[in-house]
Amino acid sequence: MKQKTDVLQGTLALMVLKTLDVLGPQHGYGIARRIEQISGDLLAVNQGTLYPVLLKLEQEGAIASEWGASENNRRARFYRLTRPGRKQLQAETKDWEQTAAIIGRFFDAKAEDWS
Amino acid sequence: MKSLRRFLSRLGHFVTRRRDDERLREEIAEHLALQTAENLRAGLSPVAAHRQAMLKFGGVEAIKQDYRAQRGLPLIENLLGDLRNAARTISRMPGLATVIIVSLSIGIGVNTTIFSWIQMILFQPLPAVSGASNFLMVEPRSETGGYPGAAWLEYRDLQTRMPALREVVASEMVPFNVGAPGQTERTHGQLVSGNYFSALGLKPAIGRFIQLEEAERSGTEPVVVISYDYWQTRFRGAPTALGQTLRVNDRDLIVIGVAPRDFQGTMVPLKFELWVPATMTPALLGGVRDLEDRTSRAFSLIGMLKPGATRQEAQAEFTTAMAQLARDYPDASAGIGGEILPFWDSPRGPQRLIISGLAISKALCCSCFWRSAATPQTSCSLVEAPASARWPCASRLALDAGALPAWCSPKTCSSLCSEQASGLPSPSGAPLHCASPQ
Repeated sequence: MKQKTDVLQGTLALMVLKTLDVLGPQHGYGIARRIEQISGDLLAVNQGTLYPVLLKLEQEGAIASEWGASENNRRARFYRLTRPGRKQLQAETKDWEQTAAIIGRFFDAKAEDWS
Repeated sequence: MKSLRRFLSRLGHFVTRRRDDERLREEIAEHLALQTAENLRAGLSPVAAHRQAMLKFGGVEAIKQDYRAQRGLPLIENLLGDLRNAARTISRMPGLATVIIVSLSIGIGVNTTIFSWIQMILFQPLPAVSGASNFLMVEPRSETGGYPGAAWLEYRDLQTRMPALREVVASEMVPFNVGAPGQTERTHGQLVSGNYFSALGLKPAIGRFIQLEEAERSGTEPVVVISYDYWQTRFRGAPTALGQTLRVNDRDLIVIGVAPRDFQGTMVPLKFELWVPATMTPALLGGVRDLEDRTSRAFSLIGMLKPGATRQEAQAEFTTAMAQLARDYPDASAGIGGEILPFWDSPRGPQRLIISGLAISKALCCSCFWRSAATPQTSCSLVEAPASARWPCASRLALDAGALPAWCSPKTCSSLCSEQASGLPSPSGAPLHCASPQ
């Protein structure tokens, strides 16, 4: 059985932004399912922890929300990315890629590179 | 910018928090319904499907707490919650609440009075007089421990025998009947020595004060200085008050000046309206012999230390002078010594009583606190509280258990208790301090 990984501080917000960027407006459950699917069920995250993150992003203006009808025809809150949210996503994606590239270089480094 | 936007949003959510709670509840319900539906499609039984959905979602209450902490202004919300809780507790025990409220009201009232007194006695013993704390009371003291006051002739002698004091002024408190016979009004005033106003360093609001020579010869200068309030209420603040005649104890006195706005005399905490030269005493008080009789100790004396002189020097001079007077006038002065006292230690008025009362109340307060600290009873359990509720709970405990000891340390308590045990603060002792870390 695969070991589940804890989510790093702040990365859940980035995942939410990216999900909304790719899929368009989604309700909380849709976002949670998407994160699970993409991560291959490897993240040890209770779905409920998503809601405080959604609230924080909404307070910061990165996302907006409104009521709509879910697939089972019930009232659900739909979240969508805003223009500042898209900018934030771009900036954070760049930061993340840069960090990952640096860490990647460390992992790729061979013994002779350290001398 | 992001932080400001978040703060404004929190403020908005604080107002709409009930609606937001409902929104979260609805979102969670919808989330669980969707997850349950998916579990059912995967072949789970309805019960198992719902159970799995709940497990996957996580602790609903903990998430709600996190959400609330993120959403509004938790500190204010907790405070409001505590207030609501307090109101409910009070409504459950109205009798006890009434007793507590009445006790607190009385306590606050008494405390306010006491601290006003302390402020007045320690820091402003003579309102409107700058450097009033430099003045000391010159108090003859009998063998039996009483403070009989000074005789006029004794005052004249002491003026020249106490070089450590720059000035010694005398005043006698007297009730006056002001107005024509049949229409008199009871007013209180002081009969004062000629240097009274100049020694206090006062400037008149209008007019002039009593001159030195106006209090030299008996009954010759029928003048009066009135208080600012008396000027405002009886003369409507008109400058024409100067030169007018006041009928005082069936004698006409000419108004020569008005005292500064806040000046109320030199016998704290009493407030006087009129000041008349002491040499008018026989004329105003029906021929009493206060100015000639050494056994008539009607005057109170205060003096100001010369620069560089100490209270101990003044005390030594006073003791010597009183011993000499006892030898010179044994009939009037035998067995009379004297003390130089600060205003806060005045034998007249409630100063000593208040200061000792304050010490007792502080000692009781400390003792009550430490007794309650020894048997803590609180409805707020830190161990049982959920993680997100621990901070408000801990802050309440910290307030209960931290603030009081910080204000009233065990050392303070013991020092107060020992001060109390040793009786009143000694005349030469330092003023009462709450905290005295060593």
